[in-house]
This record gives sequence, C-alpha cells and structure tokens, in this order.
Amino acid sequence: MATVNEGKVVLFGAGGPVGASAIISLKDHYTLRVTDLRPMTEVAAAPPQNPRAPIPEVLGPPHENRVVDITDYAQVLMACEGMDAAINVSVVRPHPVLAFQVNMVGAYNVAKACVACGIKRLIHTGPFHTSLGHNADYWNDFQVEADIPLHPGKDLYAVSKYLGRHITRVFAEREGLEVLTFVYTHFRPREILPEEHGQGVYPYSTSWEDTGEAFLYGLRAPEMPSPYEDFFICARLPHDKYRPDKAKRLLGWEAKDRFEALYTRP
Amino acid sequence: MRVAVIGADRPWGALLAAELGVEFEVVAIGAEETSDLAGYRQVDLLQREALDPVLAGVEAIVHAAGGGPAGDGEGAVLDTAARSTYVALTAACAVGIEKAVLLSDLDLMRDYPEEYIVDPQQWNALPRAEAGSLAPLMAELVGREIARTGRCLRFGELGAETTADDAVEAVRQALTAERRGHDWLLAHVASSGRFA
Repeated sequence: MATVNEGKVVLFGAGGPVGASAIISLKDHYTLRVTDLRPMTEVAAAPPQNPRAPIPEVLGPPHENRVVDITDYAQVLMACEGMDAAINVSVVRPHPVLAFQVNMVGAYNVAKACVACGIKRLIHTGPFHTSLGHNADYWNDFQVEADIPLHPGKDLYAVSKYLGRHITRVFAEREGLEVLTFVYTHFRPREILPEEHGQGVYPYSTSWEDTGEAFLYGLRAPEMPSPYEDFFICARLPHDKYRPDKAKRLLGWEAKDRFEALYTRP
Repeated sequence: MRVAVIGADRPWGALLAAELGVEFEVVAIGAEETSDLAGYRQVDLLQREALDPVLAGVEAIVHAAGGGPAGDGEGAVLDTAARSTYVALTAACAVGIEKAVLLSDLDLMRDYPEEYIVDPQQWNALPRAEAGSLAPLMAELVGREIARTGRCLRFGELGAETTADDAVEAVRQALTAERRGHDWLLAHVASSGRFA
C-alpha cells in the first residue's frame, strides 16, 4: 500500500513557492526533510518569487533542513534514506543547461533514489503549458482532462519537464514506485484584493493555499489505479476549459478557492 | 543536397557520414577532437552557439548523437541524449532546415515478448528504468516534439542486427522522401532478427 498517512517526507526544491505551500500544509502531519540547492535560511531571507507568493518557513526539529543538489545522485540518495514518501517540486525554467539537468536528470535521480530506498510514493510536479503557439497545445479545446498526452513542442521549460515526467512514468511502470504527478499552470493568492474584483481569472488557476493542501491529499490517497497518474491541480472553474475532476475522484481533493469574485461583475 | 551528420564521431554517424557522401554533400560534425572523415569538424554539440554557424547552408541533418558515450555518468548520458537532440533540432529550425533524421535504438522495443509483432508506429517504446535505456527515448521524445516533420530510425547493433548497407539505404530514403506536412515517422531498420 503506497498510502502515507504519517511518517517522514522529503521535499526536493522546497525553496520555491510551491514548496513553501507544501511545507505549510504538511508540517503538522509529517516529519519533513526540507531540501533545496540553497540553505533554507537563505531562501527564507530572500524576496519572494513575486510580491504575493509565499516564502518557505524555516522549520525546527523534529523537521530537518538540508542543502541538496538534485542533479547529484549521491546527495539525492542520502536525502531519501529513511523516508516514507518524496515530493519533488524542483524546477529550472529558462537556463539551456540547467533546465535539462534539474527537470530531467533531477527527476531521474529522485525516482531512482526512491526505488533504492524503498519509498513507495513519489509526488512529482510539473507544468501544463496551456498556450505554446502550436496546434497541439489544446488551447482551442475545452473540457480538457488530466490524462491527455502533452505536447511541449520546442519550449525549453516545457520539454525538459516533459522528459522528467516520462522518466518517472517508466520508473513507476517498471519498478513498482507509485508516482503521482501534479500539474499546474497559474498560481495566485487566496485573498482577492478589492481592485481585483471583476478582473477575470485564468481558466487554469490554483491558490497557493490549495496547492499546498493537495500534497496532503496526495500522500494520504488510497492506492492508485495505475502506478503512474497525472493530476490537474486547479480550481474547477465555470469556463469548463480544464477539469480537475480526476483529483477529486482519486485523491479526494478539490480546490476550496473558486475565485468567483474575479470572474463576476462587481 | 547538403547534409550534416551530427555525431559523426560515433560508430553509426561515422559510417553514415562516409557512405552518404556518395550521393550527398556531407558535413561531418562531432564532439570528439579528431576523426578520419574528410572535412570533419569538432563542435560542442550541446551548445547552440557552437552548432548554429556550422549548419549554415545545410538542407538536412542526420542526428546520430542521441546516445551517451560509454563511461559517462547516468546524468550525462541522459543529458547528452536529450540536450544534443534539442540543440540540433532547434538549431536546424532556426536556419530553416526542414528535414531531420534521428537515429535511435531498437533496444527500446526489446522487452516486448519475442512472439509479438512489434510495429514502430503502433507500439509504445518500452525502456527500462536505467539511464542508458531511457536515453534514446529522451532523444525520440525531443525529436518528435520539435521536428514533427522528421524521421526517426531505430537501429540495432551495427553490422549485426542492422547491416551498414541497410542503414545507409534507410537514411538515404529518409533524406529523399517527400515531405508531407506534420509527418513524424518511426521506422525500425533491422536486417535480421525479430524486428526485420
């Protein structure tokens, strides 16, 4: 059974806002090993990725903070030792070398280390690029669900993450590792400022708060129908363009934030 | 037609660069410092800045650098396969090259039961959870996503499962085939054995 109701969870790339959201939601339920390329104290002291994005909290014992370079397998393996589950929220977007190193090789290192350490559930993360400018990006479609095959085209960030997803899929199908891939597009804060009312909302949006909570559901969900499953982690919006129904069906998770004030005339 | 063979320092690339010269004007490119091939040029295949100028005037590429050199670490094997393909194909697109042939590996299909009749267009690749096995799939996925008007040829062992003559002929046909819009084609090039 891959369900992880309690125990130890390692987070990779936790210095970003998705990691910050995960820490908030998981810290009272699991013992966390929080890792990033930079020391977490340094991450926490730096400005946020954007003005309203969360900054990771630096946790004290029994949690642990550790510097881990995800491109170094030995470091990743040590970080996975003794863990019950792993969450990989690492990402590099524009760099022509590091994008492949982190998004693809990093995914390989994490999946391989999970298998080596007997970890049964890995939550992997990645983007869903809704508008890549070619005719296979689903931009003109509606009722799009999580099991569609992605077509990243030549976008560096999209294609390098796409390769990482395929690597984790192969590990899931070949090695008995259960991989849940959470897919995102646009994040925003739960709080809607007065000046935002009626300004519209992107059809694939998730609040930071819901983003974090989904990890708790992901860890606690029952065994999946297949060893590898993709999930749209977003609000069910009336646009009916992107449907996160699979997350509700298999994880029991649905977004609390629906952003009505954004798409309703003030 | 002026054809760049990228990865001419690898066994398949060296063979193709030599043999295709009979019909095409070949530009042999590789990462290694030297080669016996006439006009061979050493280029960092992982850097667009290095590859772009070499592709000036080229009309088609044969990418034979998808596999990692022996002895590299697992990360390097994956990185070389994916990034060299990404660099080669984005560079080709940038200079207006419309045709690419990507060499891959029949081992991607090896784990299907022997009695199955495995067709490249209809059967999914089945790599193992190992870098060396995943590397050609990484190259194929990048190639499929970017090219979509290219050819991907899966070869067996040089001189055994896939003979030199059959390999050269398969690449020659791929280079001269009529373009049909979005047209990613996978083909197995096997002279003997289960994939023949």
